[in-house]
Amino acid sequence: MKPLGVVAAALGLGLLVALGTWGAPVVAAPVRIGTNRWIGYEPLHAAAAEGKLPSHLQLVEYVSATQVLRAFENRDIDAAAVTLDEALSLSASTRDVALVAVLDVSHGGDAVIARPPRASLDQLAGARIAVEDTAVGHLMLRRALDRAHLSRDQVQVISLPVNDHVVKWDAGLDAVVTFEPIRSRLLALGGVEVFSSRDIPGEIVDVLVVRRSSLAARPTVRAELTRACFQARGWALSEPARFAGRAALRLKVTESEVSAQLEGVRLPTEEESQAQLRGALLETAKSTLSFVQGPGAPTEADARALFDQEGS
Amino acid sequence: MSGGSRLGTLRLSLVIPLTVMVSTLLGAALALALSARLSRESAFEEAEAALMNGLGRYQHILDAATRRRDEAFVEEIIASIGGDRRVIGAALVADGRVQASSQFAEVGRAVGSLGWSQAASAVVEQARSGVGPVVRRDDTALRTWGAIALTRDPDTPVAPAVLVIGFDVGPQWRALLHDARLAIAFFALLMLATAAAATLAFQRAIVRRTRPVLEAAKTFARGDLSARSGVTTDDEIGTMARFFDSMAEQLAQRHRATAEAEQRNRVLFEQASDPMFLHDAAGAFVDANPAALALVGYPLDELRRLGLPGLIAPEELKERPIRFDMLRERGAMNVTRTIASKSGERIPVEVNANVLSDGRIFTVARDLRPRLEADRLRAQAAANERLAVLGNLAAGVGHEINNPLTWMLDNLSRAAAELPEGPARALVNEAKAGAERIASIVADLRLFSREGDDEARPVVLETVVKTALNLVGPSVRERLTVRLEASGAPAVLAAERRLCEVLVNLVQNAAHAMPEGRPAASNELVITAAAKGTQQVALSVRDNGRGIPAEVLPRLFEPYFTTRPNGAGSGLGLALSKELLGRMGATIDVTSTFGQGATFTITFAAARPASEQALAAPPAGSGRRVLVVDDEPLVARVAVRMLRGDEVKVAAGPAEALELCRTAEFDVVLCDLSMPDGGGARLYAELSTLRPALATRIVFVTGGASTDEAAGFLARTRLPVLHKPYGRAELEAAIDAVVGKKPPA
Repeated sequence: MKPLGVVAAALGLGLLVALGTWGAPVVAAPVRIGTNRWIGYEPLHAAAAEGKLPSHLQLVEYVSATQVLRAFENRDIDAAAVTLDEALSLSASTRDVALVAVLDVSHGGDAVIARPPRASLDQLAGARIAVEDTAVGHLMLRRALDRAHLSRDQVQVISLPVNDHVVKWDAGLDAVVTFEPIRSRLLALGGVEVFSSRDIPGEIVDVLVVRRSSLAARPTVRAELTRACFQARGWALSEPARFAGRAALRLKVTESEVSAQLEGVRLPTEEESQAQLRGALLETAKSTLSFVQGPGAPTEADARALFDQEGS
Repeated sequence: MSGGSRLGTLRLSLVIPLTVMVSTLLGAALALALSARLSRESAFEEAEAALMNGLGRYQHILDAATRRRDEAFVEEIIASIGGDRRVIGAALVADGRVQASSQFAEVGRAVGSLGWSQAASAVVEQARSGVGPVVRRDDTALRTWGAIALTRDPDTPVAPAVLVIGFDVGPQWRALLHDARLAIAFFALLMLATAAAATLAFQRAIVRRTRPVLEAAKTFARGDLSARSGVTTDDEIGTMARFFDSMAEQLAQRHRATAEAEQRNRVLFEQASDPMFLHDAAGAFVDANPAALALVGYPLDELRRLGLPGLIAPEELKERPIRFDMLRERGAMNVTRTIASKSGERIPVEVNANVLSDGRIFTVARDLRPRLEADRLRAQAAANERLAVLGNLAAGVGHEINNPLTWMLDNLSRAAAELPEGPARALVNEAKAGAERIASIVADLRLFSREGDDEARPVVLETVVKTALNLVGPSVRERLTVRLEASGAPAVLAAERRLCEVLVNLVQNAAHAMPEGRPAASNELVITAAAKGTQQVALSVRDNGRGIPAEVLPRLFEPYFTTRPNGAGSGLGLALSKELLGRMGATIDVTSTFGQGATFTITFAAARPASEQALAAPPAGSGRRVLVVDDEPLVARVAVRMLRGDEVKVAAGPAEALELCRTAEFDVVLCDLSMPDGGGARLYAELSTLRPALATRIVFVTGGASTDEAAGFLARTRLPVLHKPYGRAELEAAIDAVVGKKPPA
């Protein structure tokens, strides 16, 4: 009687295991990549709209960088396209973040737009300047004031999220520290660009970060993300008209304006990106640290942790 | 139980876990089948609840934002809605165009151009009427769509915007399904494990607790009736065990009782003095006890081959066949049968046959011979008793008669001799004949007295034969012409009284053997006695009657064998004769030619070897030195006269005789037993010391031993006895018997 019992038990267990595993989701949860509207990130969106991204890489659109950071911290997203200083902040707040790629280097995309009658740097003295309370915003402001030989005390700095820049343009502002596509829209509203990131090349960098815990759960994510980014860049540069059409829809600008905005950034190759991640960018990051103020501000240790490729 | 794995004999211990396992698996399969539907429904419900909740919440926020015309905030809200993992997309639609969307590319475009799903378009259309939140499922795509109209601004005539949110139910459904299936699998496994553990525990408990009962039952079945489980628990097993133990005890007791009864019966059967047989309905023997085998003389195997009919005497079987049918009908029978033993002996038995329940027949066959013998002996003892009474009387009277008779006869003899031939002498002779007749009668009566015993002592055959002839009675004597040729035969060692009985029997048999109607003169009976060699004396009784058939001759001396008609004879006569003679050292044989009579020959040991008698015995009157001791002078004188020619001295009593013995030598002492002053016994005792050799050469003379003491004395001494009145020949024979005896060393 023993063999029959053993066979029956084995069959029963086998059947149970089969039943238990059937229907369990074998498709892994999608990797959600949060972005805000920025010409440097558009190749990803355009590629996604063209169906050129792997289906498990899901782009989530936010209105502002603040929203993206909050979503990342709230774990609504797994990866995020952010400025370098934002990446440092995330490293300080969560340490659960790693660099994947350099997406773009601002080369005119960030700008200080003056409202006429002010039309040059030296006219900014005493001006009310709106700036998003980010490191990039403060970096741009500092560099512009330095160029104009003005101190911070000589201007009135107003903290204003970037999505309010257009709305509050007519509400008594003399200048706005902003970036594309707001820059283009403000220029269209009669604004005058008095300073841009083209004046400080290589200082404003956008990167793609990923949650380290996501990497641990799915080690191939970093490579998948990297490949997706640079395939999207390649496609965008190879088919600029099609890219412009896609980006114009999202950015609410014309195709020619898309091309103009694209002028304001440099999209590095994968090799350039890797070279940056291996060293040069860390120095940039360290110099950025001084522009991130307040309690919980990132330190050099946070910067090193962000760049620590081994820890991922 | 090697067949335990066969389906037909599945053990309970396998059926229970298999049942649990199969039902668990079936239950799990059913639960899994249901879980897909249930979890899908559940996922939809959850999504819809979240959707309704979200719609209501964002309606208020968006109402405020649109009232402020804060488009940037509206955009941000829509984007943040889209950031929710569950949300496929969110949009604010007004006048058929997308005002804000989590898909920035959609903003500003006409809804119709966006390729939204039917459900999405439908909810937007439905919500526009302002009825509150609207939800619709897209079952195939696992999505649900919800929409709500923002509050109409009273200042603007345009229709209010509609917030539409799409939820992806798939992930939630998969998550729920996964959890449900994990839970089902877990519980099924748990149940299986529990069932297995419970079954195992139950099985172990059952096995452990039933093992003593099983072991006891096995041992019991092997024949060890002392096997008990010894389980005394209060549960079902205990009850079963107690029932088993009680049953085993009863069986064991019954078995013991049966075995004891069987053994008792066997012992009874084996040890019984009554012969017992067991045979089947047809008479084939199955068993017989030792007593039975001893009775019939056959070993058991031979008896089995023989069968019952072979055991019954053929002559009887012919007349009375065995009635098995009657026995079966009645169940038991009591009959008398004659068995033919292996040696051919016919044994009368009383048969008690019983039919047993299995149809076999159990028979007890009682040997009737001892009973018949006892009957005969009882009858004989009664007769003897009667004769003894008569004999004692006669002995008493005889003693008184014999003494005067002794000298009367002597005197009459002498008177007759001295009287001249004439009437006077004739008268004296007649008187003498009368006296002799008296003496004869008294002597014969003496035989029946208690005098003497069965001890063999020197006996003169002629005397005994005459006594026997007297005793057979006139009816027998008258049928025979008897010729006696025994004078001169040497004395023999015999018990006189028993020998007399034997001879009476032989004479009577001879009379019966004579053909009917033949004159007495022709019926000859010749009795002769003569020495046979030097050691023996033969007495033959020859008749010329019908003779004995040859086939009867070998069995003639068997008890109960008789050729006479039933009832005419006991069949014991010759057997008893042979027995009696055997006791006194004599043998009896028969020869016969059928139709020409029969001759019975009795061979005795001679009282004294014939050669010695011839050598040592001096002829009568040849100068033997004889001492006659008698207190009756007349009797003594008769002896002296008879011993004329011998050297005779007379003593009047023991004292005088002893005196003479001291001074003179004697060859023989003729001594009266009954005398004053101690009598013959005293003389014998004192002579035994004084002259031991002479003490063995005493002939006692008695007028009839009146006391048991005297009889016992005579028996001890084993010396010859002369009965008064005695004749010359008897005196000579008695003296012959002792003279020449060697004195004891």
